[in-house]
Amino acid sequence: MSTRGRLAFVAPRYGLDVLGGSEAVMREAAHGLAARGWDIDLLTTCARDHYTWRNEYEPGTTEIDGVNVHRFPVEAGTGDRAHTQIAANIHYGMRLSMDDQRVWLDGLFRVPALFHHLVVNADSYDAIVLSPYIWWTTVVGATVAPERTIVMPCLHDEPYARLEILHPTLSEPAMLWFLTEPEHELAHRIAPLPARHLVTGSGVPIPSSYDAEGFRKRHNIERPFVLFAGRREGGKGWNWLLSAFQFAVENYDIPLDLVTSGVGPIGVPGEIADRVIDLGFLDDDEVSSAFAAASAYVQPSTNESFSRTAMESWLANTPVIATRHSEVLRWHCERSGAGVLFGDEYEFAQCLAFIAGAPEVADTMAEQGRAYVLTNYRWEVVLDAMERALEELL
Amino acid sequence: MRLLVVGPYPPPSGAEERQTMTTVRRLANDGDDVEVLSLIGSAAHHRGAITGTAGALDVWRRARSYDGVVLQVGTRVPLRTFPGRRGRIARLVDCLAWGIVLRMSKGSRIVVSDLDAIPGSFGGRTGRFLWSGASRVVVTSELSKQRLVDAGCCEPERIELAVAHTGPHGRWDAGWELATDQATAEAVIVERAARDRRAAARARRPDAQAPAR
Repeated sequence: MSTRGRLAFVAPRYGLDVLGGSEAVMREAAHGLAARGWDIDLLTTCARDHYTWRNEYEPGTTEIDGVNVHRFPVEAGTGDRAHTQIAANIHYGMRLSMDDQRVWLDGLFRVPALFHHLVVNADSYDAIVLSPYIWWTTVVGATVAPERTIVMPCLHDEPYARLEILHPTLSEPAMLWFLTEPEHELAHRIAPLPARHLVTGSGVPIPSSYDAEGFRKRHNIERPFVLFAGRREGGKGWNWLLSAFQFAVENYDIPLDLVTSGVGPIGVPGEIADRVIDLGFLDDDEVSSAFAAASAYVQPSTNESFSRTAMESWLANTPVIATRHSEVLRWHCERSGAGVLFGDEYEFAQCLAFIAGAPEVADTMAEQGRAYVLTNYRWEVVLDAMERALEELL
Repeated sequence: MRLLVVGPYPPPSGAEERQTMTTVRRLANDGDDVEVLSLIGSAAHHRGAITGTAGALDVWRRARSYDGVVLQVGTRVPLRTFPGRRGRIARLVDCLAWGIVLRMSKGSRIVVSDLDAIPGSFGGRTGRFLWSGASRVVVTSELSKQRLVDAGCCEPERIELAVAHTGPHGRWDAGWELATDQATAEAVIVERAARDRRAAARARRPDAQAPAR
C-alpha cells in the first residue's frame, strides 16, 4: 500500500502504440512515480487516433506495471460544417466569439464518463495531473478540483493557444509544470499564471543498447540517410520537409536519403520517391536503432514544447538538424551545441551538405548532445523535480 | 438507485456548477448510480433543455427510465428569468410545469444551496406548487429549512439537511456551502433587526396605543 500519496494522471490517449510527446511524458511520469511508491490512477480514453477519436481500446480498468489504467469511452464530436468552419477560422488566426470557441471545444470529442469519475473521486486524489492544454479532458477536467490540479500544458506557439476558452486551464490550476524555458515564457505571454509554476522538463528513457548495423540490414538500407520519426502531419512540418528535401536533392545533389517511421500518410512526390523510405510504425527498440544508424535527425516542426525525438537522437549519438522557427529547438541546440539550425530550404540543404561532408564534426556535436540529455533529461532528474513540486502542493 | 441529476454543470465552472458537482459526489458516495442532464456544451452525460417548459418536458420524458430525479435549483434552473410582466408569466408557467413533472416523477428531489438565489424566491401559490411537488427537499442549513416551512412550501419531515462535505479534501466544498449559508443567515439577521427596529419605533410613537380609526 502506498504511503506517499494518491495521484490521478489524466491523458486523452494512453498506450505504447500511441505516438505523441505529451502522451509519452504522461505515461512515463505516471509509471515512474508509481515505481517510487505513489498510488497512481491513469484516467484516459478508449481512443488511439487523435483525428478520429474512435474508440479502439476496451473500456474498463486494468493494472499495468503498478498503474491503474481506467479507460472511458469517447463521445466523438459532431464534425459538422459549422465546427469545421470554426476550426478553419482558428487555424487562420481569426478572432472567435466565446460561443464559437465552446462549440469548437465541445465538437472535437468529449468523455463524460471520465469527467464523472473525476467529480465523484476527486476527493480521494491528493493531486490531479492533466495534459496537454488543448484537449477537452484537460480543459474540463481542470475545473473539478482546481486547488489540487497540476496542468502540464505542453504549450506550442499556435493559434489554439490564443483561444480565451483555454486560458483558465493555464490560470486556474494550483500548479503548472513546463517542459522547457521557452514554453514557460510563451505561457507568460498568453495568460496570467498561478504563483506556483516551474520547469520540470521531461525525462527520456535511455536505451540499454543500439543496433545500427542490424537496423540497416533488417531494412535493406545501404546509403547514408537522415531520419524523421513521429507523426507525419502538416503541423509537424512533414509536408515542408518533403518539399525541402526534394529541393536539396534536385539542386545540391545531396548524397543522403530520407528515412521515416511513424504514423500518417507520407505523400512523397514522384521525383524523389526512390529517395524516401517509409518504415511505418516501429517499436521503441527499433526506433532507437534507427536514430543510431542515421547520419542526422531532422526536426522541421515549429509546434514543439519539448521535442522528445531530438533528445532520443542525441542519446543515440546522432546530431540534429532543426528549424530555427521553433524557440524550443533553438533553445536546445544553443544550450547543447549539438544541432544545426535552418530557416528555409536553402539553409536546410546546406545543413544536409554539412552533415554529409563533415561527419567527424557531426560526431563531436552529437557527443555534446548526449551529454546534454544525460545531464538534464534523465527520468531520475525529472521525477525528483516533480516530487519536490508535489510535496510543495500536498 | 439510478438517479438523474438535473442542473448546471461545467464548463465553465461557476458556483452553481460546483454545487451540482457536490450533489453528484454526495449521491455517488451514498451508493447511487448517478447520471447528469445539463445544457448543451456541458460535460454532462445527457444534454438538452433544463429550463422552462421545454426543460420540464425533456426531464419528464427522460425521468421515466430512472428511479428518481434530483433537481439542483439555482438562478437559472429550472425557472426562466427575465424582467417585466412576461417574466412573471413565464415564472408562473414554469412553476406549474416543473411542479407537475416533480409530482409525476418517482422519487423526485430538489436540492437547493441558497434559497435567495431563486428568482421570485419561494413564496406565492405557484412557487409553493413547485416546492411541494418534490418528494424531498435537500437544504444545507437549518435556516433554509425553517424558511421553507414558514413559507408553507414543505412539511418539515420532507426536508433533509445535507451536512457540509467532509472528505479528506472537502474543505473547498464545505467552505462554499458554509459561506452561502453564512451570507443568508446574515441577510436574515439584518432583515429581522430592521423589522425589530421599526416595531420598536412604532411602539415609541405617542399615538401607538391610539385606537385605529
